[in-house]
Amino acid sequence: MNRRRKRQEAISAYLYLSPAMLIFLVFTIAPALFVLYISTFNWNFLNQSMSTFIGLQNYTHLLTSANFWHSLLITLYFVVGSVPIGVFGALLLAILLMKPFRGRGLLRLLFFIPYVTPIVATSIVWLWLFNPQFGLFNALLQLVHLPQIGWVQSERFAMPSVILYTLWHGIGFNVIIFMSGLTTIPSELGEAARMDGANAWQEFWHVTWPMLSPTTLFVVIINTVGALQAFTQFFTLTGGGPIDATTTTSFFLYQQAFVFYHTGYAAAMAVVLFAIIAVLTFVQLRLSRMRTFYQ
Amino acid sequence: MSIVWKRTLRILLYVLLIALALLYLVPVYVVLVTSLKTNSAVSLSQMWELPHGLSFSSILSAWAQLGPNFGNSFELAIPATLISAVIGALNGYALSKWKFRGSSVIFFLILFGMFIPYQSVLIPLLKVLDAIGLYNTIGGLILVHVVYGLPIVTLIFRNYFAAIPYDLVEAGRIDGTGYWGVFTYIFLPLSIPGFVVAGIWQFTQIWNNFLFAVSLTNPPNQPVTVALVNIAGSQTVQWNVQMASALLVSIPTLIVYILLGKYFVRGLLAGSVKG
Repeated sequence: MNRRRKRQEAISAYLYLSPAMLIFLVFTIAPALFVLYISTFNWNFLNQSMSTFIGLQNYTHLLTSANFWHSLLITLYFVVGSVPIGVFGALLLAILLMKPFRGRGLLRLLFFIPYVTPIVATSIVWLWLFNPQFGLFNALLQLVHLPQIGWVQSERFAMPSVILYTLWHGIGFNVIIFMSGLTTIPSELGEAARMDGANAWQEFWHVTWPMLSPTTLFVVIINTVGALQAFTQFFTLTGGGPIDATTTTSFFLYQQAFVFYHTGYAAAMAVVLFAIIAVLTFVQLRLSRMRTFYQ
Repeated sequence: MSIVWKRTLRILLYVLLIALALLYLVPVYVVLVTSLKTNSAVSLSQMWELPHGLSFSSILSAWAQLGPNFGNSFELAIPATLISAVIGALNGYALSKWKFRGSSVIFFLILFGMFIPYQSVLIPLLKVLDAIGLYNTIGGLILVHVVYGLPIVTLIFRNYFAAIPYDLVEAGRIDGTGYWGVFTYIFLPLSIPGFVVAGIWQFTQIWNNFLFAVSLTNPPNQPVTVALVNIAGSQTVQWNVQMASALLVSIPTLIVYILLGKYFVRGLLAGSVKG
């Protein structure tokens, strides 16, 4: 291929990409930079000309705010409570759903279906299940003679309730991704392990788990980012309460920006939240580079 | 491992699966049972009972409240899905098969969009939409969903196209077709499964989205998810109507998934979404 032709091709690739890129940059990179800019102002939402530059004050205010640190703790609770169970539960389900048995197709469909339903719709149903007086969960507790709890209305159980709903809604997606990872593992590897006398656990630990590590990494990252950004189920199930028990940083940010109109302060929080997501993703990628086995 | 032990373990695992399956079916049961009851038959103490005779009055009154917003949601989700799939295919094609300077930087920038917390860009987004006259319009929401859907759709198509052998591009070149020709005659016909995965993904995400909808539109321009939350939040609406509304709002994505889900899963299993 001659150079002139190569250059022509590069130019056409740029040309075809440019409209999409331009729109994309205008709507993602530009707002991201604008958020950075707003975060240095005491921003007046209604009248921008009244905004005053205050440097890093929003950040110092944020980092010394007990509410903000509390929201980070709540976010950590949500991530730690939902991601590991979501990932390993999905892995177990995926392995089970790869084995042939009657009704497998139906079960695959069943576990995936909540993922395609709107959170705003299914959370209405779950509010019924969580209902302290007439809900299913308290009826079940009563059946096994355990004390009944307030679920989303109790400070202590609101977060576990949201986590339970989130797992129900989202685990099917992880299952499918794991199933797609499992299908790419050559079956000869498992057969070879079994010929060498490996049992089911050894086969999983020495063959499936290492071969699956790129998929696991992908699922962990997607779930962590998703949990850090989660908003709708908090809005519909708990509204951040009771008494801030479920006010994650994402929810706190929304409140500050769209309920209290503390725009500059919310912008500073957005920057910090983005930094946290970026750093976590980077760390997970680096850790995986040391550990994962690439095909 | 003894056979008895193995069999017990197997049975235990399937008991677990069945218990989980029941947990998944319960909400479906509640929705169906409650939506088909009349106002007078709905009380908290009877919520688990089957209705005495079918009544579509809850579904009709839910439809009366949600109907116009359904229109909004279709006007939003269908064009936004089509546009983002087409642009995503073009991006994925350019990024997977044409090596040019800066292609990896561009790909990185596109992926960057996946990691932006949406709450954080809502304020500037609102300003930008206001400035170009698209605030509080379905058009504005289409634009936002196309833009924020591009990272994942581009990723889907890039991975999908990466599996198509480079020889096909070479063959097309020898036959004298250029950038556009290779795309239309070679990649487009091969990319139907990619379009199915990207299309289903986008339609579901856009139809189900609440955050953009609630922050960037006001009544009567709101998509159906926001209208549903408004119904659920009001004290005057009966539970059976709320359930019927939840059912109605879920139906389009359920239909899409039940009709095309097989191809979606097959496309995913073929590796269109992987890191």
